[in-house]
Amino acid sequence: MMGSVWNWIAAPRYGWQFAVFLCGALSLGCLALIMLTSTPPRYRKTIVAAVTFLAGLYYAFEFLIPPAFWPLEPPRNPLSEVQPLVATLTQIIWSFALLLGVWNLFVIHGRAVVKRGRGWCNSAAFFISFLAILGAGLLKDYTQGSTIRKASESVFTILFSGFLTSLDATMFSLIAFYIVSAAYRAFRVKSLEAGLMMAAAAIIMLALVPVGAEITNWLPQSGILSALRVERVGYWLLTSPNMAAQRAIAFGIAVGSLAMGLRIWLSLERGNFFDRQL
Amino acid sequence: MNVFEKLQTIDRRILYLLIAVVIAVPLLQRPSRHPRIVFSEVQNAYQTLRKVPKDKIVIVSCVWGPGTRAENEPQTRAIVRHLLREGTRFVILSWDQLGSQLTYEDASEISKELGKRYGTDWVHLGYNPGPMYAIIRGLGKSFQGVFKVDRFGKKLKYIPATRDVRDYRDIGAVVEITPSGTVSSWIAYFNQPFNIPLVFCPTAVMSAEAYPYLDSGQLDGMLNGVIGAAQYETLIGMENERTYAAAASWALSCAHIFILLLIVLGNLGYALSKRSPQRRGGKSIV
Amino acid sequence: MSEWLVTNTKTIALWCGAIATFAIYSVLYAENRFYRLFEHIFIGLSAGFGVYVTWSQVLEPKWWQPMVHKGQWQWVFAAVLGSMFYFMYSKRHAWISRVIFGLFMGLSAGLMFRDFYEIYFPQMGASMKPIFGNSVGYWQSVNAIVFYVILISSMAYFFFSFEHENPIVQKTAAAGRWFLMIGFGAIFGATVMGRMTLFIGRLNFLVNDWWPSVQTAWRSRVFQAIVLSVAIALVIQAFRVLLAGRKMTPPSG
Repeated sequence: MMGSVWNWIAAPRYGWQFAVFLCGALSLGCLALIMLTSTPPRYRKTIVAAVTFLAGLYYAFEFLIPPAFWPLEPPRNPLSEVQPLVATLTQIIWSFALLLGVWNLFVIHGRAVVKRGRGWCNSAAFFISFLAILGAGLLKDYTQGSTIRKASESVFTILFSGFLTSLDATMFSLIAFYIVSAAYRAFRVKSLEAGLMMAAAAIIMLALVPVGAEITNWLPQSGILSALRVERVGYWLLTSPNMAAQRAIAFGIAVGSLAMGLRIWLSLERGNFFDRQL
Repeated sequence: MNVFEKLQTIDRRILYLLIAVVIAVPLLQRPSRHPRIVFSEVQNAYQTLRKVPKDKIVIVSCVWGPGTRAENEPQTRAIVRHLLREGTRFVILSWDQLGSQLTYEDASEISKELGKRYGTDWVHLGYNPGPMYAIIRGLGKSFQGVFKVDRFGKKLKYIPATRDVRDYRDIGAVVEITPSGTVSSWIAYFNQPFNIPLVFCPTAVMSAEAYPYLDSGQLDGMLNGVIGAAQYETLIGMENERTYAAAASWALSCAHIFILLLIVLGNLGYALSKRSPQRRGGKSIV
Repeated sequence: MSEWLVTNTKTIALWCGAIATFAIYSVLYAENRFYRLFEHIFIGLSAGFGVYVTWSQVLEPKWWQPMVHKGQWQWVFAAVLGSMFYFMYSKRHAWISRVIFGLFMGLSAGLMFRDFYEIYFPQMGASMKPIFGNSVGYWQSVNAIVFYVILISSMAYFFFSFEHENPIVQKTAAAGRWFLMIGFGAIFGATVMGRMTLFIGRLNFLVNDWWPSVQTAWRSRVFQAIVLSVAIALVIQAFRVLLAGRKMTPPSG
């Protein structure tokens, strides 16, 4: 009975049936949102906590309850069966959040352009570049005429390969200059700890690059002395002391993340975001 | 003011210019020589991908974008070239909006060069926004249920390379090429539960933290930044080709020596300026 | 015009890339308008491309197509749920956005048991390294001892549940601090390598991709005239700055 009702609801609809079902579903969704907007403040935290808890329960049960527990043949966990649907659904809902940041940018730069304040030309450049790449992208995908399509493809390539990737990569690469400056001005060996860190960093910096192997090339390739070759010392530092230290840090993180996960799941977390009046 | 004290007040823009010159020389020369040493984790990565059965597919998961292109692109190109040469089918899955376009362009170029075909030898699944955990968990259960279409909107069940891929049983290995801490998602939700090999290609910044996972066998191999890519190129028979990765490994050699010299000079100047009469008992310059 | 654009797309993109690179690097000399303009262009292009790619590669094929062309009307509920994010712009109903954020936080938190089991249990298992035995070589024994010493002392350093009053605990934790420094040194060394590579990537673009096109373009008289004009303009600007006695702000860092 339940199965047949579900199949009737889930069946694809076309034509006027599609329009009716779509409008119905949309009205139902809007009704749920209206109900949420009229929820009294005292129930709001409870609703958020309940949604968080129930969502967490899905993956917790999916992992903790063995397939044999469920009365199904062959034994399987029905929660695992719906994972692909959960993946697609969350991906789509997540994608709807894309305009959150864009909206903020539009408000800030829109105000600057309207008020013609200092640097409004830059804000105008923001809008022009935004619309140019979006327009070129959509035109190249949705136009049929070959001239417009080819021209928009070219504009898209210029904006993407020429400007966007170069700007992004160059922005990131600025850090290299600050590292050079910091290495010269800030990296001071003032204690044993700083000395140890400096020594480990220096050996690893040489061991990772080809010149490291050239520096101690005069040492034999095998035998006891070969252990002193820079690349071997560096590699040993990475795979032995570094590995042990990183594992100790990872164990610390493991305990911390388990505690943090529990606090978020059970809505026990405190702080500005969680304690705010809803 | 002695010479060391003068060096302490050097304009940082001079340092910027110097590092640019130091790096530009090997890049202009573009040597073909690849690193002689190949780390064992790179060799393990190579062996892992070589052993993937031909009836299975490899997932090349790319989290990178233009920001870390200099490190992750050579890794992607080396892996893609190896898989195409081996005749192992693979899918590229991009988690970065811009990286989606770049990884497609890279694989297309190499595929064309080797005479391979999109759809038969490889497929690009386009950009996939988060949440990564849900997608990774889901694809183990139903690959085509999660990735329904490729980047052009064509159904995976109609594409020769992917039409037989149902779930984790048809996946031979995962390669995670990333500038952020996403590998733990693959370990926890896919590779460890289904016992599928995982090759990790991080940016150098994250490589030191990966050694515990290599030691425990949760990672089957690793390409450490652009150096790892250059080492991998050696393994796939490109040791005499003038590649970006090879040139970058020599440019890095120069950069590292230059930075170590700066650290030594900076410390020397600091130590000597502390000893000088004007500074004694005075404030620190740091 | 359109044909010229299509034929010269690659060259134009190359030159745009070089101009963009110089514009961003100009901030290393001093804060300037050219940099600010390209910074805004970058933000605009990123946002525009984000909208385009999310629509064309996610929403259109995975949501719009199944819903509109395959009659799967149920997908409209995803839009209703997605709209909940936007309530954060309403002061009165901002809490509704928390419901959807709570959903994602809950899903992520629910995975903690699997995380712990799949990631850290194998780590614990791998920490049981044999020190003696027939199959354990001399170097393996040494490495295992080094491993235990560093692991235990580093963990002692992180142990904050009680105060380190016992001298043995104090000394172990102090040793742990030194060993952690080796780990941080490794991270620092690798970080330098990573960051330098990013700059190498840009320089490689300028040296090996763009510069050959400059050499080709140099054959044209028009190009020579443009370069000369730009150089003169730059010299005049530099003189103006010097005469005005303006001090340009050097970058921080």
